[in-house]
Amino acid sequence: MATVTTPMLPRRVHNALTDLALVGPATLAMLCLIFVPAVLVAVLSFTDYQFGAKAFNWIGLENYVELFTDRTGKRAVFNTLYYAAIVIPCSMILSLLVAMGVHQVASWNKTCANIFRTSFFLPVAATLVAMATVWEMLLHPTLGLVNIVLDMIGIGGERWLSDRKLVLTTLAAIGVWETVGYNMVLFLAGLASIPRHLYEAAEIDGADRGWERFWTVTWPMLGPTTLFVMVITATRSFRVFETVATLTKGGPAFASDTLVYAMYREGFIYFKAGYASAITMVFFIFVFALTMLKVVVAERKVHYR
Amino acid sequence: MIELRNIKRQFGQTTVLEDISLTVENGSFTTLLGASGSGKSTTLRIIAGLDTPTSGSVMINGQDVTQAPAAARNIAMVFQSYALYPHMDVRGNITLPLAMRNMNRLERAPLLNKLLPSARQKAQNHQEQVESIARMLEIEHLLARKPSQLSGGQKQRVAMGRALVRDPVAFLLDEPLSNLDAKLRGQMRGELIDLHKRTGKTFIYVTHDQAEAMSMSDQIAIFMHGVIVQKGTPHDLYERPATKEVAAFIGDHPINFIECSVEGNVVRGPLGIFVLDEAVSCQNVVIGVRPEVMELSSETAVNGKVERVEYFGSKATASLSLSNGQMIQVVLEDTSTLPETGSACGLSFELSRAHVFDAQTGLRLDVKVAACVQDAAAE
Repeated sequence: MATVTTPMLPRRVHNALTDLALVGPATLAMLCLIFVPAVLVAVLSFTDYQFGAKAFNWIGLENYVELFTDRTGKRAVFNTLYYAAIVIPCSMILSLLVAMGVHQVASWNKTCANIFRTSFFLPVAATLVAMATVWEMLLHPTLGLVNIVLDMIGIGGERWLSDRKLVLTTLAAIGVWETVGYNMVLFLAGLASIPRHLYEAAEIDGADRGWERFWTVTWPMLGPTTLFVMVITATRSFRVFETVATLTKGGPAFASDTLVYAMYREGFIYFKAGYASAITMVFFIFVFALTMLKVVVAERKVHYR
Repeated sequence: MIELRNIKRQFGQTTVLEDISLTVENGSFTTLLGASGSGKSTTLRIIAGLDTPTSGSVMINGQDVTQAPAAARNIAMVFQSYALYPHMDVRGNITLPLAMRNMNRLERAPLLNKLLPSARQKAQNHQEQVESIARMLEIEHLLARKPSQLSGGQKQRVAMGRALVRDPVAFLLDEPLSNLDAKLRGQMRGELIDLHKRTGKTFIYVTHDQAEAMSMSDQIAIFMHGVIVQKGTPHDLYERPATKEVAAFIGDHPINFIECSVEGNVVRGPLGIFVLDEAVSCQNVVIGVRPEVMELSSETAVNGKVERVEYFGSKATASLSLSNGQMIQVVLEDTSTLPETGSACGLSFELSRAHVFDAQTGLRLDVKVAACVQDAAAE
């Protein structure tokens, strides 16, 4: 005979304990590893704390004032925005074009499309520090392949990484090269999820040529993907670090100094923890603003609800 | 008039359509009926210009349009999934085909078009057309909504509106009702018939539902395995099915097939011995009798046992087993007294409405059952 076992605890308590057991560990880890350090950084940014020092003074907003008035500080903020202003649009447009090309190729030759996709994705999979060394060799003023080729076709080469006017643009170009592959994969997924019927409806309605097709179906249907790609690319370009650290160290004369590199220099070379925290907070606010933009403003617009 | 001439369509090695020829008269309601994978949707796509045949030609009003793109054919299509543009409101969805046809790129460009008097004039015109279509389909109050805010039936109407708005040569409808629930489907069926009457346009309708096809069409083409096995009026298909398969496909109740041996014009089977009006040359025939022309009778000898009775209110169906174990279905029009399960019954049917098929080929034999000389149990 089957017996119904009565639980030792009332059902509601039992459920609550289960919930706690499932959610608890992750919540605890998140509190300890993300929220508490973030709050600490926020607190430190109002002090003159130096790493290893025994005491610190509250200095209010002085760190922030320094960042936005001091020449090097302003430089880092401006450079980061300049870098992002090049990388975000260029990378998005380029990756969309590449994705549409690969998507088109895939409709008649799968192997060919796979080769394209893999080669565009390679920079994402490779270690950026190693890749930066390769770029350094390519861009060398006298021995680099880029200048040799430019010389051959009669255009004078440039000092790509040591010219103060050029260095940031060069880094941005490498940044575009680095992000296109990843964005392309995102756009490809977006393209693949557009229902074929919509294209057919557009064809019958008369929107059958390239531009009309793109404008009527492809672009609006890629809305959610485009927004996501934009936020991802922006975040990635705001935290540009590896190429700066390996290729220029922020130089020449702070011409390629960026927020995260400045944070690294101030915090881990000069041990100015308070100032580095302030830089981190500014960086955090940039990224946070972007995320809010995605959640609040745009999410509603691109999902057509 | 839309004409398909010897259309063949292959995808790689597989032949999807084999020698399809069909004529659709202007203003008619033609249904392409078949199970999934029978080639009916491919045929519709070929008419629309979304697919090109491997060989054969498509003629619209005497013009060969086989290679013409969809937009050049001026044909409207309603998709099973409705295929509404999710980023546009209902008004935008219905206006789009007009804008694509009547405006140039400059006039369609957002913002810029506000400055062009020609664009403003055309846009005004379009709005009037859209509103009159919306009135006709009773979706005026929905014009500002996005497709995601509409119910299935409303999306259906918007898709119809987008098709109707630009006065096309023909409407192609690809299983437009299959995503709706049963009650709404019945209602939309009526509305489609009305719409066809009101517009007087050519409708080509694809469905796998024989009831839809029978109730709406002037002409039905039945597709099986990439060929049209029979085309004709609903009445033709019901009364004179060309093959056993067609007979099985058409009709609300599945037809009963009774295998019989034949000698000259004498047929012997589990229901008794019958005489055909003409001798046939094959050895075995299959007699097809629809459940609705059969009845339980007390005058013939007992030859079946009632296994199951299903009551529907206006009618009932009874399933009987014959002495050889075969199941026969009978529709009972009189539901006041139903037979008891397990009771023994006699069976009779309207001889003139039975169909005779060659057992081997499944093709219809042009003979009638003339008389019943002996019923089974009396043997």
